[in-house]
Amino acid sequence: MIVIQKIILVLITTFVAIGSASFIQNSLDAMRVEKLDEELLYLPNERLLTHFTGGMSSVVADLLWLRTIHYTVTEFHNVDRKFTWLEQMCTTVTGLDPNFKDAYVHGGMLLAAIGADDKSMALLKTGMANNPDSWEIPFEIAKIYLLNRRENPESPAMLAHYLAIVADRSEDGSFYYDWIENLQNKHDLDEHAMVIWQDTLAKAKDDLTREIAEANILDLSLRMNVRFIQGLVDDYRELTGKPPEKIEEAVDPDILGTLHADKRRGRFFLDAEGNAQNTVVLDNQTEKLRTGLGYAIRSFNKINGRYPLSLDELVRRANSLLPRHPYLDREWHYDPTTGEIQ
Amino acid sequence: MRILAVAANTFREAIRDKVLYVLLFFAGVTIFGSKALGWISVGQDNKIIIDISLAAVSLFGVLIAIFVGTSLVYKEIDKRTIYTIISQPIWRYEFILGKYLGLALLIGVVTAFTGSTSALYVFSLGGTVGITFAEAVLLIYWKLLLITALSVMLSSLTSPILGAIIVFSAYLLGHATGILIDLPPQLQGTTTETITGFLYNIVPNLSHFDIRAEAANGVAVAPSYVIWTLVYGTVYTIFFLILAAIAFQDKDV
Repeated sequence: MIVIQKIILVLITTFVAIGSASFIQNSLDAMRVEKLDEELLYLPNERLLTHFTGGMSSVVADLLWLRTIHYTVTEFHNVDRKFTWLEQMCTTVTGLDPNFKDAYVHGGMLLAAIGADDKSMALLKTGMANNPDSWEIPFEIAKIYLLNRRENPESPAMLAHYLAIVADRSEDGSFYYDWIENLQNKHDLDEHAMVIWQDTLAKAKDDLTREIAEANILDLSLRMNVRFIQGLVDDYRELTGKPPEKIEEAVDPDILGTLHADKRRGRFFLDAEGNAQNTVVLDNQTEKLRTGLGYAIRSFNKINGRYPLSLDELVRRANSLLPRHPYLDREWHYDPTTGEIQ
Repeated sequence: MRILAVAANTFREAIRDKVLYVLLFFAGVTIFGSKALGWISVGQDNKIIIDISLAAVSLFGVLIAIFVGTSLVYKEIDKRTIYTIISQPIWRYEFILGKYLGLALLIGVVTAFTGSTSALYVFSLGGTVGITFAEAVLLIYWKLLLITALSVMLSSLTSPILGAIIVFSAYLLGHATGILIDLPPQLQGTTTETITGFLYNIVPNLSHFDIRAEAANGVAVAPSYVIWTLVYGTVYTIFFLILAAIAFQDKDV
């Protein structure tokens, strides 16, 4: 066979083989529907995994961490945010590589962002034990007290405690000592939270962190607006001896118009108790509480093999109280057959 | 001098082996391709690249030790070239030791090459590597010396394929010895625990040589740990070489 004929034969064979294979590949991909939950159903225990990675546990941790990021981004943009596997994925990654600081920090941040404060704390405290020189991990714990547990009376003291650890371990300790002093002077925690989120936004290396930071900055700014309007409502009450019936009675229409001009800022209104509220703030609170309750319901199901019969049973078992619905004229609707909460 | 002559010849011969260059090619692809995984992380590029680079240095080093090491003595016997050597005034153990040292030198060159390539790649991407990285590469090399000694021992006892299977199994088992002492509570205090505890102490624990996670995360490792691990590896290496010499001493070639 002459050379040209050989070349033509090779080219034809290659074209036919790769073409057929590509066609079959596309057909197989279409047949296979990826179900995220089922795929993660087989995530093995990290203690067992450590022994069977052939010395590649840190590489397996890296690959699993990339999977965790992909999972989190996908869930974050879902309407129904369950984050069922987030805690176990973070635990497995850090179990395989106990020195993987970023996994503790980002994992802790993500768990706190979905309202699973206790899981976040547990992960971060394990991280502190495995990384005694890290300042980033106690800083993340401090953020939880500042951002998620602001209303808790012990939070300023715990925040100061963890910031002291951060100051001791970081290179620029003086910045944190000033902050601790401000806390002890009982400055508004929302201002500190705004500083944290603006710093997080400036240093964010990925879109997800940027998105979370921007959402929280908007939320904090709206909370500050709500407090400002509440001040006007209180002044009206003091002046007239009775609460305003509508928000427009207490707040200058021009100010309200400016605040309502940006659709992202929702609407300001007075609730049934005559307090100033904002729809975006309440929606965010509702979503966070709903996600946290959903997480607790699924944890209950994992332990007891069934969903709680009611939300009262859930909180009774956890020795806790059911959080009030942020909208005073609404209630939590729970379906015990599916474990869904609305 | 005889040992060094055999070692030099072994090195020259092994460095011409095509398998070596194929494995080096794939090691290079793995190291340079690790950047792609760094792109989809959230700022952990440096960590992931170092992790994968060191994993490539270790894994491809092991493959070279297995594929070249298990056929080292067998090839000489099979091609009958061993007669020209053992007919010379050379002890059989000198022959084995020379073969081992030649392959150890080759693996040292490969490890140094892939390790320094990884470090330069990390630097070129704006990352940093600390002293722990160098310690990790050193411990990888010491682990490869142990694997090579086992390969050479099996090379004088059995065929290359069976030898490769045994060495690879030993490599995996060496990294899984932790399971022998991490038993479920119901087995504690039983005969099983005694047996697995005994096995744990005799099977070489290759996890001791693995400080890749510390290197990737920039965590310092105590110098005493590195030194003791080197001593641990040396003990097993010498043990396997002695067994190899004994096995080859009376072998009917």
